[in-house]
Amino acid sequence: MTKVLVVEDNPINMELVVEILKLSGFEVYGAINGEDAIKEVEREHYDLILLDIELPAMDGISAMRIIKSKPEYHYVPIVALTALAMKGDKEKFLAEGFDDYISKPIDVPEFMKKMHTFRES
Amino acid sequence: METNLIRKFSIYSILIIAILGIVLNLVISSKIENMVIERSEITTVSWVELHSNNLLTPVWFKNPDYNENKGNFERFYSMIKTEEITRIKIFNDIGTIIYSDENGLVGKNFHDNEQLKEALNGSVEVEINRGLEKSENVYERKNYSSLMEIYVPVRSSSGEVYGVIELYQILDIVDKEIIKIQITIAIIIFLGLFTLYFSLIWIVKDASETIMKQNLALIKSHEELKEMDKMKNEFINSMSHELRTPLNAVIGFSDLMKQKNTGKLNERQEHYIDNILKSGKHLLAIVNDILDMIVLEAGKTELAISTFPVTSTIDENIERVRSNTEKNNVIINKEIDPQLKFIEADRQKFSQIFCNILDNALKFSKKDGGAVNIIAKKIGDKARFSISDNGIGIKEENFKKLFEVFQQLDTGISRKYGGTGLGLSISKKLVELHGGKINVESKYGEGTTFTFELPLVHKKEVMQND
Repeated sequence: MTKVLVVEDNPINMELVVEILKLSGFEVYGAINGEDAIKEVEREHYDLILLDIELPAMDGISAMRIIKSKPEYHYVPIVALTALAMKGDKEKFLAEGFDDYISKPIDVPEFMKKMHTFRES
Repeated sequence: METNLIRKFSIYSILIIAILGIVLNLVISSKIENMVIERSEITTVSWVELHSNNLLTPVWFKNPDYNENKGNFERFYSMIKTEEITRIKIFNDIGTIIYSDENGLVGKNFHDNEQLKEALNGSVEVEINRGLEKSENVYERKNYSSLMEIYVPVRSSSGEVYGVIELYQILDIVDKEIIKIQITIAIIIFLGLFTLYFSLIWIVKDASETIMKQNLALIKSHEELKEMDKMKNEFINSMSHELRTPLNAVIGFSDLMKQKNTGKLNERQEHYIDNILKSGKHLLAIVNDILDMIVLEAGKTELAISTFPVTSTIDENIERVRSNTEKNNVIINKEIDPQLKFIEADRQKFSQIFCNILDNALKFSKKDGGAVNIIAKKIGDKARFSISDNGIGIKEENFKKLFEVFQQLDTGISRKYGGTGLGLSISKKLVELHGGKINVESKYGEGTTFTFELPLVHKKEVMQND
């Protein structure tokens, strides 16, 4: 089963994403901030990471950089899942090194479709 | 900056002061020299005239035996002699020397001498000889560097000239006095000019300090404005973020329930969930439009200009609007000018304008037998897009209000048709940002046509500004 790590500080939004991913047939784990996420990826191997940007302790961009620097995560897709959705934000995060960008509020059917493509690849 | 300015000013001022000082000195010096010599001449002349009137008699001058009156003349000479007067020649009325302190000259005639002639005619004559240290006259060279020769006519009580007294007055002492005065004047001139210079420097320094202070204040206020602008941007960004975060849960969970992923709902629950989802999406549309409007109002919207095909872009947008509308039975007719193949504009903004208007047209077209007509035409160097519906129409007095923020013509409409109330104002701004225009034609009860024109080739300098 594809293992996904969801990094999200808002518990309600965490619940939503976890629920959708479970329904889509993923094995889902959660982390509530950047530092937590790094500990988690060191402990376990994940096939996909959904990373919020605005996080306490360590923001999503720094966490993504640290995770990407690990050889075993070099080719693991890291997706920005964020409510930062002003013009230029998507381009900015992709330029930072994220593999994809999904803005909140998510469109559930579209989100499911996208997750499906990640499971296949 | 400041010190550079003062240095430049100093160099120029000192240069000007030096030139001015030298010129002033030259002018004043020669004036002073003339004045001092003239004063000395007048003193000597009146001194001689005073004594000659009192001591000399015409009879002595007419006596052909010069030795007879030598004693009288010697006495006269001793009376007028000062330390500055070094030689005397006394001429009779025909220009013959009848007395001199140098005996060898007595009896010699000088009637050809121009100055003597003038003096015999009654005028005081003066000749100044300088640089005598180089003179050929050994006598003169030995003793002095400058001399003044003065010819003073001697007059009878009736005013008739009966002789001339020629005196050699040494000017060395006068010259020394002149130099002393000149030096004093030079010192005064330069002191004055430097006082002027320092007060100017002081004024310039003061002025440049004031300018500097004003500059700093300007820089500070500019920075404050920049800071405020930054804060505003941050505020907009975090407002966007904070509104989207709870909307994520509202839309997400209701959508999840609607997809029946979480178990079967009864009809009523399904209806409610649908309402929550719709409202959530409506709220999101409002948030998006408000943020768009804020950015547009701030003049911060930048166009990403590209050349794109008209037909396929219109088709994509029709598809997009159709998939989001509940009015699936409305017929959409399109008529695209085959000459209108490409347009240079911001493709995403074009789609935003087009979708806004098309969405409106669909919303307001008849429920049964509703039809929307899209016409795209090339007119000169412009592309004209018209979207018409056959709906309720708009009264003419309300045309203007249409493009204003939050102006849905009657509150009933927004309840019935939805919409954020910002779509048309955003579209208008976006059209104007492209250098185009938008307008509306409508007949109440028959339908409405929105038309917008965009230049086929984007002009960079065109900026929206109302």
